[in-house]
Amino acid sequence: MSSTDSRRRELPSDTIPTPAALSARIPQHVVFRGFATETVVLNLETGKYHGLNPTGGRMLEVVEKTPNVEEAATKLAAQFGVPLDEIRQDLLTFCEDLAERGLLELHGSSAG
Amino acid sequence: MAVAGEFKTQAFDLSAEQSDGSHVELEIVSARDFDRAWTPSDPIRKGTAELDDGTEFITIDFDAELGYRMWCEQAGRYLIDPSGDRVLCAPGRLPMWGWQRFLIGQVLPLTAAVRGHEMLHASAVSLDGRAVAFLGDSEAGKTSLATNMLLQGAEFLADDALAIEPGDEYVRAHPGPPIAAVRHAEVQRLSRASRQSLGVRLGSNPKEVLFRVARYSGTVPLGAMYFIDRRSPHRDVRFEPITDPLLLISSTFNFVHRPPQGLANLLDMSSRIAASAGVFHVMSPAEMGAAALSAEIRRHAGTIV
Repeated sequence: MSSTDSRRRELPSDTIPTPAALSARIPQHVVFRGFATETVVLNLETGKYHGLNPTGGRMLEVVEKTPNVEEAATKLAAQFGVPLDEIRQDLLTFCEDLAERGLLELHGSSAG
Repeated sequence: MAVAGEFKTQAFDLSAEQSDGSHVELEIVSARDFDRAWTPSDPIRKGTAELDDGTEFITIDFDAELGYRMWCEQAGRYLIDPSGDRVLCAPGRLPMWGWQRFLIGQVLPLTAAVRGHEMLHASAVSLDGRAVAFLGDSEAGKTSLATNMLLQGAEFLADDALAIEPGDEYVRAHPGPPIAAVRHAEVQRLSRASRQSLGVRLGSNPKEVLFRVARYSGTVPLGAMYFIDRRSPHRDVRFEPITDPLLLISSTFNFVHRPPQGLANLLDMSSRIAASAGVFHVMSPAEMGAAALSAEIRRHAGTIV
């Protein structure tokens, strides 16, 4: 099963939300801290540490502070100087990957 | 962490005069009374230490109602209550300094962890107003470096277990018990004058000699951490910055008591150390003595702290 399929199954709606309607939240059992060369994400329920490279670390910081994935992608596109379409897809894949590992919760509503 | 109790000590001070009034109460009991107190309903084995032949000589068990029981064949039985406020001690057959070494080297660090303190597996000195910590495996010579630094004018902070806490800008290091357990080979390398100036000899076991040393009082910002590797193929000493967060995280003294908040604190503390202190690998040839290596580290530390 692909990561996208897994995410769809978790979402409350049977429609796939657009990035603008997709919000990401870091669960209470997850903490992360930045280091010089990577960000370490800790799942307090499992005791497992996960490493993110600097790009992933920045993505997580921005996702945490923005209300939806689309806004996060827009900020990151400006920061990294890459096309919005490109970073939007990368960010969605990143969020799905973290969600599969229990490090991020994705919430969507109908695009409307 | 202040401790209080009503019994004679050689290896540490019993003084509960902490500004916040918080301290650990140590109580000596007989083995029979201890066994009456340790009646766990659902104990969990949390750790063991074994001899080469597989015989257990230290065990750590946990019961949610009663706390941690540490047992050492010769040093006795110790029960840390779930709050970390009280420790029952039923000393074994070792002489006073022997069981008290177990108490300060194993029981009190776990007690500190139960009370929410973070401990590094490190020896440390205070140098020019900053703590310099030495880490590495059991043969790396952490204590030898700390004692040689002490002989070269630094102030002793801790041997083997270093308590730390977050500060405004730096992580702060706390002085531990004024005890250094120095390996016999290192003691032999010291001149008589150095041995005398190191401190009062309390006793010895097959591995090491225990000295009561002069200790720095008060907390000090953590300036540098050196991970010692004595297997360098090079003839000179080399320093390399460490960027791997997991090495910092795994430098904890405490692998036994890790509630979720404790894991989060450890990650936070590691991040603070990485941001505010110099963290280095030190690669030295095996034949280099602790005195020469400590002088090299002192020179290096002078450039960063």
